[in-house]
Amino acid sequence: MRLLLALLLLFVPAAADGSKAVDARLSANTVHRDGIRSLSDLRGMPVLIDFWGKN
Amino acid sequence: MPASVKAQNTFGADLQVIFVECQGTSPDVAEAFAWKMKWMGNPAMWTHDRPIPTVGQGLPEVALIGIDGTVLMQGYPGDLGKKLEETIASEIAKARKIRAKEPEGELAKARLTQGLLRVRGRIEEGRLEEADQLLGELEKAHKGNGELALERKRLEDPALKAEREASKAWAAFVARVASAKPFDAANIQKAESLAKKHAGTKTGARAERFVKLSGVKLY
Repeated sequence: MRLLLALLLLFVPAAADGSKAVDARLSANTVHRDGIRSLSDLRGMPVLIDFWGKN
Repeated sequence: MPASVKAQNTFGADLQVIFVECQGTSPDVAEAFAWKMKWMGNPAMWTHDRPIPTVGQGLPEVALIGIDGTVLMQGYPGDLGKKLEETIASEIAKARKIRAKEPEGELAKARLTQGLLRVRGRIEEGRLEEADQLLGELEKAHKGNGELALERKRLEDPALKAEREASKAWAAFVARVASAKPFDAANIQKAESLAKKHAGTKTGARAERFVKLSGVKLY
């Protein structure tokens, strides 16, 4: 249960209402993570998130 | 998806694309699928964890985060149309303008910090060819920077000779195959030989993984 809570806290994103800066940690097994730990590390450049599915 | 790959290739290091798999496909299948569809071989990141929530009912969906970290637009890519690409270009231009006007400002500092993170990440991952390229660019922009000098020293450590050679060979291989039938028999054979030749290096492990992914059943 504690592990589940910790994981939830890790990936709960900040408000995405368009008026506040969003942030979230990128999981360690992200492919091509390139040393980037979170969205805030990318501040200063545009970030395009593409939600996709194989099917 | 292809539009985001195209955007990453078009805007290069000025844009970060993050692909988020949302249907619970296993990491191996998702990565193998991306190679097969010729979507790899660029700086895009791939994850299964949604950094922000989706807003629509179906896929695909895209979200554009601006240089200030706020969500500028989000929705079905077809609905966003050309406006998406135009906004990316406008954000990049805005960032460049601010950095030129304030060379010691927050945005310029953030870019250096991010560059350092990337260089360090690449060195740790054994992607030394890419680390060298980025470090060279940062050194040009920030002459005499002590932190960059430390990374240069680290990168040129003679102990990394094997990793360096492996990384160079792998970067050339990926550049050649990523957009031209990556899992073609000849390419798999080449990857196998690279894995064998550079066994014990991080790149060797990467080549081994590529060979493994080529055998993953996608459907």
